[in-house]
Amino acid sequence: MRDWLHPFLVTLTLLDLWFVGITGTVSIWPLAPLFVLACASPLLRQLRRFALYRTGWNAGVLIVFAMLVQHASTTGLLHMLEDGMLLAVLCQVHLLNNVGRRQRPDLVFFNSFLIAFVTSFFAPTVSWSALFVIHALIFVPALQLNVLARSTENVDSHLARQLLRDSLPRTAWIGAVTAVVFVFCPRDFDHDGWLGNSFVQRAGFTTGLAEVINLDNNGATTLDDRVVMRIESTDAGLAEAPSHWRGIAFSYFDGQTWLPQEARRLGSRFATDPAWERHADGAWRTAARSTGQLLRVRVEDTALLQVPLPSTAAEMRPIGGAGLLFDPRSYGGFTFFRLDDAPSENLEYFVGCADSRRPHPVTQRARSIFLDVPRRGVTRRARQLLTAIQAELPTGQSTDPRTLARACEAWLRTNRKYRLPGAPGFAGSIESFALAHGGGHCEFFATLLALMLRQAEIPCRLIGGYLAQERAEDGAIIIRGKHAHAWVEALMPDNSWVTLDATPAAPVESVANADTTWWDSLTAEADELWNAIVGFDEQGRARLLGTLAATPGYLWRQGRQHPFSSAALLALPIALIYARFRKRRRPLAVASLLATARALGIALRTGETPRELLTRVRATDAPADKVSALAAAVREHELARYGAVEKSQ
Amino acid sequence: MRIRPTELGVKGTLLLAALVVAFLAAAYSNLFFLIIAFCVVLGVLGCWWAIGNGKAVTAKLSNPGPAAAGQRRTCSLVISPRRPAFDLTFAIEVASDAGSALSERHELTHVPALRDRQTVTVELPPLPRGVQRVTRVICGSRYPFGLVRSERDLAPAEPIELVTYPDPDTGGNRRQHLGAVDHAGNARRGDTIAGLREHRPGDSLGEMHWKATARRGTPIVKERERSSTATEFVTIDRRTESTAAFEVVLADATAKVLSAQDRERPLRLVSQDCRITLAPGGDPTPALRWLATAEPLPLSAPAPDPGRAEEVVHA
Repeated sequence: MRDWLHPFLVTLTLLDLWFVGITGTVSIWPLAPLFVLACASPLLRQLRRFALYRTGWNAGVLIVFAMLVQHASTTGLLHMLEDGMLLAVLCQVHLLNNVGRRQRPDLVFFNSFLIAFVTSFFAPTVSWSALFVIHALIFVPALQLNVLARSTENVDSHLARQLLRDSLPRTAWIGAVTAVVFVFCPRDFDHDGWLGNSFVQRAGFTTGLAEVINLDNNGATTLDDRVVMRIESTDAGLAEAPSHWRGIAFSYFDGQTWLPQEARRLGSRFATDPAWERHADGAWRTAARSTGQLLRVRVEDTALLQVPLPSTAAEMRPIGGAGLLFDPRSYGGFTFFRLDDAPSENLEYFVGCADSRRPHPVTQRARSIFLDVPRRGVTRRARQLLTAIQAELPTGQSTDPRTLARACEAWLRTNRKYRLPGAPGFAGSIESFALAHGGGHCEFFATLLALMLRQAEIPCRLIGGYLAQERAEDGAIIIRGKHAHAWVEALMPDNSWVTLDATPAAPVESVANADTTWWDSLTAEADELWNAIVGFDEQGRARLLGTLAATPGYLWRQGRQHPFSSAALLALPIALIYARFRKRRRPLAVASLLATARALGIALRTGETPRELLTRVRATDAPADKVSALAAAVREHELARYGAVEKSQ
Repeated sequence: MRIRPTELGVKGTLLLAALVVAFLAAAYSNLFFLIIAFCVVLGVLGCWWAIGNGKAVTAKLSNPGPAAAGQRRTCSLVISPRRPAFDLTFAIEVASDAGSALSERHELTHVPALRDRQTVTVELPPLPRGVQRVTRVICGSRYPFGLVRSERDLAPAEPIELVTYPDPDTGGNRRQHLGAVDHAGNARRGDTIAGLREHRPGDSLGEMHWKATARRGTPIVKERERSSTATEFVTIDRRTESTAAFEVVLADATAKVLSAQDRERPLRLVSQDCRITLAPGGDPTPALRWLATAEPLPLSAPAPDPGRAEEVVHA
């Protein structure tokens, strides 16, 4: 008899290997033979009766375990977990090929679930979610088959098909109820846990603009989908709209953290960028001349109290700025304060840009701050990289600041990979990133570029802001929390600031490209959905519940606006439900018979026919009127079921 | 309805407990919560569906009729599902009439899948001499996930009585050892011999065809035409102190009853408090039921009134 459960166990094991594969923590070389051993399981199981075969497996597992323990003793907790995953999948294949039929399914089930669970920490991506859905689709029927395989040897193909058909709606129910629990179950979204920082450290890197940039956060990335800004054009369109919108400038770097550029840290009260002046019409202007094209900006998230502006901004005119106080900063941006009577939570303003950025004298003291580098290993590595880049430049150009800055920017774009924290291949630290031990995100690129420039005596700072890369259907630019970005501004000898963005353009452009395929759109939608799940919080729940609460009203309004199409849409499911209900509904005669029997206080026994019931009731001293009522119900029942009444009645 | 966790369920609960502890120990993570929610929902719905799976069927066990002690008997189990059900195990609980507190459970059958009404022939386990009652028909299931086992009692439509009469073969075997009872043949010497057949329990020694037995190497008796409707009498004197001897007597008497019924002869069973007459080819159950429940009497008890006894079986 065919063992129907085994293919499911093999599939679960292959999925486990895949789970570990997508984390990127185990290379393909140890995983590839495990894939082969799992696929060859139907053959290898035949060898289980040979002691030599079993001994070989046990010895292999022990040797790998010893190697991993030796490796773990020289690395940190994170690497121990990574090594543990390799061991877990090795044990899974071992279980599949060697353990007896009775114990094997339980062990494989539990180990498989644990692997899926642990890998969720390392790769909380949409790929993981897709794998987990497949895992659930295999896991549930495997459990069902396991139940029958334990009770009977005769699980034939017909029975297996019946089980599989039965498992699909059950899996769907489990998924639906889990979703409901996930949304509605009350919980503390901010709890730190008993173990505190040891887990917190890995627990979150949320994209967004921050007042301080910490480079030591290597937890799982949460892409914030909330809309932060909306940019519209007042006239000619947004084709020429600036891509980089400055938020905060960071000047001081201690090797791990970037601190904002402030006058007290610069040691100078003079601004490093053209000053803003307030005019009588309420607008703020610099000495540069605006081109005349105005962009209308609406800032939805004003938590940081920053006014994002392009580097070429020459005019900023608040819209309905009552209750807001604007404070121009030394780096050419604004912060603002909200008075208690401010009418709106949002911030709206017009921005006018100049053709180019005007030079502005920077004090020597400020320059020295922009050249300051920490005494860390990463600085030395940046120096080595700089030397190599300079060596590749033609003679004479290696000392030209502008050329050198662009060369460094281009080199980083080409020679380092873009990876988000928590994703496979993420470097984990700026030192590892400099050594090319992994990829990094925009802050890593900007930091390494800044260090290289400062080593080359080119003053520079890091800018935190937003990258405009998403268009709404109406053509407006939408900026979300996940579009937060970091880049570098370098000060040239002529006191002009040059924007340098070393982050590879590929990931940005792929999102920004409007000519996307259906697959791109699908994966983008899946990413958005998954990010909404991973980043679900109290506010998200409130929004969802608000949407759900508003849905009936919305449907009612739609129904009133489009009565015919709404009625047609409503009639279809009602007809389907009615057809199903009618199919299942108990015939009236049967319901009447049962009701009459209930009134008599007698229940129909298992297997008893209505006529037998009547005979039994007649044998008792039941009231005559009730007996006659039961007889009538039995007659009706027989008429309904058989079309005639037996003569004997 | 009873629910108890299986081995897999206990292990799964421990795993879930470990996950919950880890969840509380670590900083909040939506993914972690989602996995725990999945586990909990799987377990809760598994229990719910296991209960529903057991509730989806009704079953009716037919009365299997009398059987000899130590022998299996078959009966039919009619199972009707309200909706498709899987992995159903049926069992019965049997209590003796004397002490119903001591009920024993016997597995009947396992039905992997059930879509329509199905009749299953089941074999009841061997039972000792006596009259037992089927107190419960139990339907159990671990489906769908094997995390819990649900059991539901299906009350029999009408009380099922299991009459287990003495094993006539056992009596014959023991009689060889005991040799304490006088057996006179029940067959009429004057009847015409119709042929020969193999010996059956209850056949008289006087009817043995010794030459044919010697030739064939197996006990052969003479088969006679029924030329008489004379009633056979079996009188049992239950006064004895030897339980073993009493059982042998009952076994012999059972053999006589079965033989008489087989040969369609009338029979009268007489004892201290019993006087049962079986018509030719009639239902022997009253006699067998009495034999199943008969108990020895003290020696001081009065002797039975044999009436016109052709055979008296002394206990």
